[in-house]
Amino acid sequence: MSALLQVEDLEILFKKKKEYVSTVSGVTFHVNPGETLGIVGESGCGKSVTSLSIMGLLPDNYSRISEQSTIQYNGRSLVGISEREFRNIRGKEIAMIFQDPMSSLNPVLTIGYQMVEMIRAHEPQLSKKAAEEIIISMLKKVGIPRAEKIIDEYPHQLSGGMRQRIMIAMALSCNPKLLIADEPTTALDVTIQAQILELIKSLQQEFNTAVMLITHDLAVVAEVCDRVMVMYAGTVVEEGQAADIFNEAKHPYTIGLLNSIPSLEENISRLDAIPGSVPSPEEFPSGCRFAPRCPHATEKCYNQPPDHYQISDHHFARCWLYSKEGVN
Amino acid sequence: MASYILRRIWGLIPVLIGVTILVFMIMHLSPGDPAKIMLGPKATTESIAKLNAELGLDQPLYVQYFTWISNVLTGDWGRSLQLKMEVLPLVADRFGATLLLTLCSILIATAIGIGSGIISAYRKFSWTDRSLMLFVLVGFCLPVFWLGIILQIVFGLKLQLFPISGMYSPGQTGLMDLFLHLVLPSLALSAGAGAVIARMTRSSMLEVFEQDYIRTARSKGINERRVIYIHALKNAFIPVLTVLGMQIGFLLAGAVLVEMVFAWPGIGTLMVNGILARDFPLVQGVILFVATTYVIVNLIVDILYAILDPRISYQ
Repeated sequence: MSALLQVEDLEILFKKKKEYVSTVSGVTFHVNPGETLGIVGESGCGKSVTSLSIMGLLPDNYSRISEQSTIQYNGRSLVGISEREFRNIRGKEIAMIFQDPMSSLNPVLTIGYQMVEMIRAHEPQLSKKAAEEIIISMLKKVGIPRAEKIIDEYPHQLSGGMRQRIMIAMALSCNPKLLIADEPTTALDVTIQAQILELIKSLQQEFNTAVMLITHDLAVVAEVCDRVMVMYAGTVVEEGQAADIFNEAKHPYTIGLLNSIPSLEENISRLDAIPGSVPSPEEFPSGCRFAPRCPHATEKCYNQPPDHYQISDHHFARCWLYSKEGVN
Repeated sequence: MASYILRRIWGLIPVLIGVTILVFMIMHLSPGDPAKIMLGPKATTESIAKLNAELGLDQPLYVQYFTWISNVLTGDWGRSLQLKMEVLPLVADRFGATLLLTLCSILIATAIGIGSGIISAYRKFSWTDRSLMLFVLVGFCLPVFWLGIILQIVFGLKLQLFPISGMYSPGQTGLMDLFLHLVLPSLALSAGAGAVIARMTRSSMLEVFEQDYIRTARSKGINERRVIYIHALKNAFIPVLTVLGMQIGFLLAGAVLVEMVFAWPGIGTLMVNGILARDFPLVQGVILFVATTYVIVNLIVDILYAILDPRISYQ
């Protein structure tokens, strides 16, 4: 089966004081049609930047994608294509929902306007009336009561959970093949979080949409993802089936993340936290980027960046511990 | 909506009362005796006292105020001491010209200000942005009367493109003639306001461009024009509107100077002459007219807010 989205050796550079600094680098992954890929990592590890680069939404005045990077969607390259070509992909082929539903909808335009606008941008032959019918049925699908009334309302009249449902309805209204959900539940309270995840999951099955779920919440990943990719400081450190990651995590960073989830069964007085914090792009170590925080780090880790080492069929870790030659 | 507007109009009443008190006080507390000025330097003390009594100027201030205000409310704005004419028709007649000039300037200022503000914000920190903002800064700093004179010299005398004074050429009443006469004074008057609007639009647009909903709009695949003019501008315009309302006040005030330079037959010339002659009723009339206009313009701005921003409730 050929992948829907294939990203290879993605490097994203940001301008800092006239110089371009590499932030995300060597990121390779793929998303198959209809599957859910979870991308996990701490804040600032490049998850959102990676997703924005796929959408072509990186600010072009101070960021760029390096030449060797490839992003292929359905066999088409998305690197260096024109704004016009990208517009035909955004929304129609790849749609995105964002972290904060409170600020992601335009406060001075009605819900209906914002949704109809998107449908008609991709299908200009549709009348306003026909587009409205589509959005009303979409709004009903995402569980919005009195959808006919809601389309004339403004975002501030709705709760956060409702707004995220509207974002989801909007994102799916052009029937995209890939949905990028950038921390879709972070800004919502816990009961709503579960509902939103459930909704994404059921709609994904209904429309056979592939989902890239970006989150820092491992519990979310466990609930909905087929495969998981763990990112740290702009690189992919581990990738595998969800079960591999949860039961047999290999990379010290993934293990650290899993250990820092509080558990109900064990009664422990202190949570294991990973010491230190993610370095800024200028301070990335020349070797393994996790080395300064890693309990197993040796001199080799500081000096040479590790490659991806295969653990099992679909399970990879970027750590010297799993190389043939070992850490030393 | 209707009750919102009614409440806003109700709120205008204390403001307007305050304005009348201020106008009245400023004129009466400033030095200079109108009777003395009217009768000339050789007047006797008795004749001055007699004239003051005739004009009612010998009565206590509050009595004078109440007499004036009750007359104003019944449409009797008094007679100009200097021109010996009814104030209300005089001011109303001249006000049309000022209003025309102000409206033209605000149109020019808004078009240029919002246009350059958007371009600047969209190309932030580029050379286009820098040069536009430099231009705007210069426009803001130029005194209106100086700019007026320079425009007269360049476009009137050297290039002979536009007439430099008055509202109509002698013996003409055509629209085209009026338009040609309007160009230079409106340009001179619009510079400052245009500059303020441009800066406000730029900073407001810059802020809006950073918002999440702009990213959402782009992620929908709609074209950039829609993102800028519908998603961004509709939000960015709200603070610009406030400035716009205030600028209309400054323009009415600035019109006084421009009218003097271009001999535009508006209330500015009327007011300046009135002040020089200590013509109380006339100056009070003009200021009251201008202040009322300003207050009404701001009322309209408030109503527009409620239309533009759905988050403002009418309740």
